[in-house]
Amino acid sequence: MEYLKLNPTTATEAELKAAISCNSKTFRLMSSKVEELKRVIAAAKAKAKSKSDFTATIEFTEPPRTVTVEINKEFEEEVDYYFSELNQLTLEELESDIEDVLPARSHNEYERILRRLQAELLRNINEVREFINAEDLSISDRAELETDIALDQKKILAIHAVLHKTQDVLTATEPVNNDLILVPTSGGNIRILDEIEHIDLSYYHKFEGLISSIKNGTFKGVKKLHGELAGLTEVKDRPSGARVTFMRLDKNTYAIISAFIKRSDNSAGYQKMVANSYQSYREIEPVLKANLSNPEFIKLNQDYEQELFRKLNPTSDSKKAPVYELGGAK
Amino acid sequence: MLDLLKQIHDAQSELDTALSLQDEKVVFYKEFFDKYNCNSATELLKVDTCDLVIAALAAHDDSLSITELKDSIYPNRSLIESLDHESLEEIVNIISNLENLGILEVVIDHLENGTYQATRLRERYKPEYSFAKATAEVAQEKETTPQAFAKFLKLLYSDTTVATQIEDEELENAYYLLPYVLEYKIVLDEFRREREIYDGLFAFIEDISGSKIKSRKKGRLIATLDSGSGYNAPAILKVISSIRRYSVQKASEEAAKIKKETKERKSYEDLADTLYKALSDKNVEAKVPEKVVSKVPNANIRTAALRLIYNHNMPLYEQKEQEYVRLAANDTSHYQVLLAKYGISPDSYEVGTVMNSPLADVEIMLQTLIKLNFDNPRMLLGIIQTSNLETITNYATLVEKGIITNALLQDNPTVLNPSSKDYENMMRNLALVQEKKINPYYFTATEEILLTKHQVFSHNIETLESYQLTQSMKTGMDSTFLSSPDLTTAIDTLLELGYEQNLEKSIGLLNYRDRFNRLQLLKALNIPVETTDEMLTVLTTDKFFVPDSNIDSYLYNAAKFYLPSSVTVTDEHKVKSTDLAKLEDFDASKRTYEIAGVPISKNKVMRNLSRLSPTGKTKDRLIYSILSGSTLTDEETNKIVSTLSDTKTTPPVVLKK
Repeated sequence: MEYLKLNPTTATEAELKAAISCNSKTFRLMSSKVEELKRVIAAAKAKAKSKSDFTATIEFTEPPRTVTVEINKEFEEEVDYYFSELNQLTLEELESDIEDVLPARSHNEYERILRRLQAELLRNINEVREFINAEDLSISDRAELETDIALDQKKILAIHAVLHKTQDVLTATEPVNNDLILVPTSGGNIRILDEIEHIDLSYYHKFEGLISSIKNGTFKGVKKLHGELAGLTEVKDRPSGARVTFMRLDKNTYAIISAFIKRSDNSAGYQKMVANSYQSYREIEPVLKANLSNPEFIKLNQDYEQELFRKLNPTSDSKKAPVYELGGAK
Repeated sequence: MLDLLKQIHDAQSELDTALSLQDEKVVFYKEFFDKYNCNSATELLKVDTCDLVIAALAAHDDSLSITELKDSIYPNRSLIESLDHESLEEIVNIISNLENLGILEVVIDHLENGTYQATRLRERYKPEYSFAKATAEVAQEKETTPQAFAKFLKLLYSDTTVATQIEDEELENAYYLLPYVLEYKIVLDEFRREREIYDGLFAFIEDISGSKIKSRKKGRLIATLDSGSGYNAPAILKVISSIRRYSVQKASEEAAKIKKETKERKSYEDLADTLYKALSDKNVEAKVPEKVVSKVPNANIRTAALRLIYNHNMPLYEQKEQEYVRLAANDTSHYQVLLAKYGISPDSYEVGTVMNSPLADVEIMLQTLIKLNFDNPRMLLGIIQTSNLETITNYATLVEKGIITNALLQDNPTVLNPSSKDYENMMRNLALVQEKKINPYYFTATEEILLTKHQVFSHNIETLESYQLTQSMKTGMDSTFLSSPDLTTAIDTLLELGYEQNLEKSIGLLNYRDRFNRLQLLKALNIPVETTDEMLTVLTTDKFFVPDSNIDSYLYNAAKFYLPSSVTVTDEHKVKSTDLAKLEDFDASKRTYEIAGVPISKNKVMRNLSRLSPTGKTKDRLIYSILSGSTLTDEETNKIVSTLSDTKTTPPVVLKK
């Protein structure tokens, strides 16, 4: 498809005639081809345009921002437990009992929990201050609230003091070794010893760890229960579902109520079983508290305790409950 | 075109001239038959002898012109009318003798020029003069002039010349016209004579009988008489008939000639019109039918017309050829072949989008993208569908200079789309960096920041400038903080927590602005955090003792209770330097005041002040500007207010509920 090209000045009539005729045919053919190509290209482009919602497949990604730390449920439950204990401390008890309501120094989240307790106290204070600033209060009410603020401020300072005890003081302090009272059933049997019998041996070391954490004040996975179980606390090994419910009877004595395996917190069967054992405990609690000064009662319970640990750890030669020295001291 | 039109015009003019000249024979015969109605004997009697001789001779010999015949016959009317066999022989002899002597032409010349007067010497030495004189005398005898007689002789003589070139038979009959002249004259004479006889006879009979003879009877009687006397009456009719036939033939020839010339003239008109229309638009191919050109009789004009058509069409043809070559090179199949080389198998829609860029550009785009480590065919296709050569080349240059990396482009391919927001933001941000003379390599560690919405990026750069912190930027820093909608609060927080030095040295602290409330909580709990490393530990730990989402609920801000209610927040306006004069004594650093031991951001004060109505007490406006946006304890707030008031106040001074 080429044109006949010649020198028009020198070309003859016949040559010009032939070139014009031939070129005109070529031009028609070329024009037809051009139109066809244009149609094809236009059709292709028109089709492309018809998809007006086209966007590139990969969108711009926002620059990474600081990742917000998720709330750790277990940590929050532990804080909830210690803070409830701390709140119960009166100004008079503060100096002597402060460390009894705090986790043992050997707790792996010790400082974090104490800082958080300070923060919770601060929040209490702030809440009161906001209230004082925002409301028109009587002098007596205001004075009462100022007293609450002062108590919480003292608790903050007390925790601060605990956190900043010198190494010498820490060395001289004995490790936490709480006393345990194994709660009996209405029939007179020790509930936990009966319950252990019905639990697979493979869980025993989990229960040993949980009861030991009550003994040494680290309270593994401690949680204050709420609702109809309000007041009851439990330690738990979340992966295995091993749980032990307990109650604080006095400064460093804890009632061990029940032991069981339950992976879900919201099981109706679990709620009912725990409620029953808690109810049973509540009935016997005054008796237990009354006997805390009874040496025979204490001795008997020490035997139960040893039996419990023997059952949970048959390979242990110790005939006594283990004394835990985990680096912390009161 | 103008030259050709001129040629056409000239050719037409020639034809016009030819058409305007009528053939003299046609004219002569028309006049002849107009003058002599030869349809009856009476009319035939009116025919002039010379007119008849001219008409008959012209018809007899087509080569004889009417003018020539008229010039030769009319002046010799007496000679013609008196011509008989004797005088015919005499004239033949004169011509024959003179010709034999070889002086016929010379004698004719002398007679025509009037130089036939013989002198003594002429007669002696130039005998032709004597012959000329003698011939002139013959002419006079025959009642004609020497000049007219010369023309008559010349007609006869020239005729012999012509005759010698034709046929042998005619060669023997030299001066053959002369007998014809005599014949025509005699035919007419005899006709007239016979008519006179018959007329006399008919008159005599009518006179005797006393009654008129009917024309029909006269005709029959004439025919009987002619037959009896041996007179060939139709001879005159034959002559007239031959004249009429010839005149008709000439008229027909003339008509044919006019038709032909008219046709030729029209062919020029057609060519001119067709060319004018065909060549009027240079963007349209000139189409001139071949028959329009071929009908033109002038070969030069035909060639010139064809040359014009050729020259007109060639640029158009070449333009079409270029378009064809371009389109053929850019058609769908070419794109598909090219894309296939890169493993791309597009559908027809995708090819269409790619075809928005020329094929050559697409090839360079693909080569460049491959160099930029784009190897996923779908990704390549997506980019060339929406990008262009200039954009991709620009990015390749940025990568080559190390300002951005391949990874940025691969992670954010929309940046290669010039109509995308990413592209616009990136280009405007880089332009701002250049304008502010900020080292572009500051952003290499966190290059995605260049994709930040330009309004935000620009605002943050200006914020850093206003806090004199641009000099704290450095190569390798984490500049992610520049994507924050606003940095002023974060900077003010660090300044008012007393971390001005830390910020100046580690501007990257701003990346943790969402966790600055941790620092505020630690301050509220009197837990000291001093070094930048300690700050980073606090800001980066995932085990901070209060969940980030709840920290604000642990913070108490007394400042809000001390905001003077007398001030009015209004539109932004310029702050007078006098408004800040009271704070000059508290100037602690280039970015902070220190009032009662509490660091306060200067920019924050200025910003707050610019939004307050400049009415009312300056002190109240200052207190408002200092406290607003700060997180302070009751004690700190009280001290600030007291210091500025020069009087102790009991908190809260003014409660704003």
